Amino acid sequence: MKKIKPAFVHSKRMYLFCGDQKGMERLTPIIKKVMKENVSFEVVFLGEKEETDISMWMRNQKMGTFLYMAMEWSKLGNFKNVAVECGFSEEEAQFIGHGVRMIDVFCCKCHQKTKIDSGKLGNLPTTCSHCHLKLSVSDHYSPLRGSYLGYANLETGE
Amino acid sequence: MNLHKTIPVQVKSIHQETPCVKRFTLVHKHNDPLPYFSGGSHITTYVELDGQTIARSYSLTNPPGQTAAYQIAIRLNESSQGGSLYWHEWMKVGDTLQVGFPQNHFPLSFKAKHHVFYAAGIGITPFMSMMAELKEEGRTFELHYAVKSRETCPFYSFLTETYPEQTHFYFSKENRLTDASLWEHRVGTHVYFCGPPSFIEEFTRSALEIGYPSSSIHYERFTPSQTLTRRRFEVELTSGQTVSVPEEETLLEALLKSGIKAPYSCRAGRCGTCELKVLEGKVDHGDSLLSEEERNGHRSILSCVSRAQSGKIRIQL
Repeated sequence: MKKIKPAFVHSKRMYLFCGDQKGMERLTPIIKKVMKENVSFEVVFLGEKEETDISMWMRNQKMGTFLYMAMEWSKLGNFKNVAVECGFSEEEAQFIGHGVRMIDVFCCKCHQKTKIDSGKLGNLPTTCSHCHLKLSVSDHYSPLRGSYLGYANLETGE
Repeated sequence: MNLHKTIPVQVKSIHQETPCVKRFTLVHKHNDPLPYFSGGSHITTYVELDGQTIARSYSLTNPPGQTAAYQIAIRLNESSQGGSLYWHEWMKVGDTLQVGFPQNHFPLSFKAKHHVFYAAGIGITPFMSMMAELKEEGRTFELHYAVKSRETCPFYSFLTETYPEQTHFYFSKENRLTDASLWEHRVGTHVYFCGPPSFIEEFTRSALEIGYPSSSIHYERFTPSQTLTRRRFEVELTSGQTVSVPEEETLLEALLKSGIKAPYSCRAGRCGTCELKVLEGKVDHGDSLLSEEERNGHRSILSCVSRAQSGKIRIQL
């Protein structure tokens, strides 16, 4: 799975940076750019604030702000949900993960999800942890299921 | 005339909202229920005048879900070419006419956490049904309404009684509406603009400059943007016919005048009904429908507002 690079988005009144140590390292070029352009910005280190405080902080932001969120994949999903719940749309935020990314695979047979390491995507098939069906994982991500779709693996017997 | 799907209606009542605005209540000619509509919908009305059919679109101002009647509010336009003048001077209770099915090119965003409406003058009309829908669903909204004075303010009493917390009036002699409040809206807000083209353009520009994503900005024009240079041009059709479009006419008007059955609906460049395929030539786009990519491709023209960049274009018709 390719590494997502943060990209600078122009013409915003304010830029918000939120992340852990490693995430902030990834965001540094953007922070430098914002500082150079002399635009308002705020930085929040994960761990300095409770999740509820971050939620409150995001909820009180005004239109025209752009959010960069960079942290471990295991935490990113939850924080992304909070940001979306606060009103940040896809056009107003970038979410950048690091570390091991576990993804869900949706079983076509039993409709349950199995977690796999996204780095092993090429070395599949995998097995559904619920019904034990062998699944080939498609690159089709279903936002509805929050998962990659897993289809029955048709072995040729060769 | 584009009379494919129309409904026969009768004027049930006429209410003088302000010296320049009349509100009309229309019911089905045979007392049938009218089609359902959603907040922000409009209908096209067809009235006969001197053997010609005048088609004009007006927002429905009553709450969505009410299918017993449609309400529209019309401002008498000083430079009326027949539409508002007819409604104000000639339309009487009991008169019948045809109206199109409700259409909605200005729907509420389902993604918004909060909705903010900016209206100038008669631009209030689409927001009437939108606010009713939001109130019914318990969603949050506010209205910023610019108008000359309290006396010339359509729906003043209704708004103060129904939405006292949400409504902010700006009477031009007392306090003008500026774009200052655009800076104050919290993330997740969607803004909606309706009024004269200059008002829409100014507020849209301000919102984009502040950093609003374009998907959070919604507007509705009832008159086309006036930014195009109106030059004479020729249009060649695939049928072989060539039609000349003079400065004072739109491509659509020229086509209809030549007896060509070109499709159309809103006449303001926002619905896409009149979209025609361009085979040759570049287009000067005046619509608010096509994407940047579609505009740059010059493969499509909205005949009601857009013109040729060069002296001639060839279209599929």
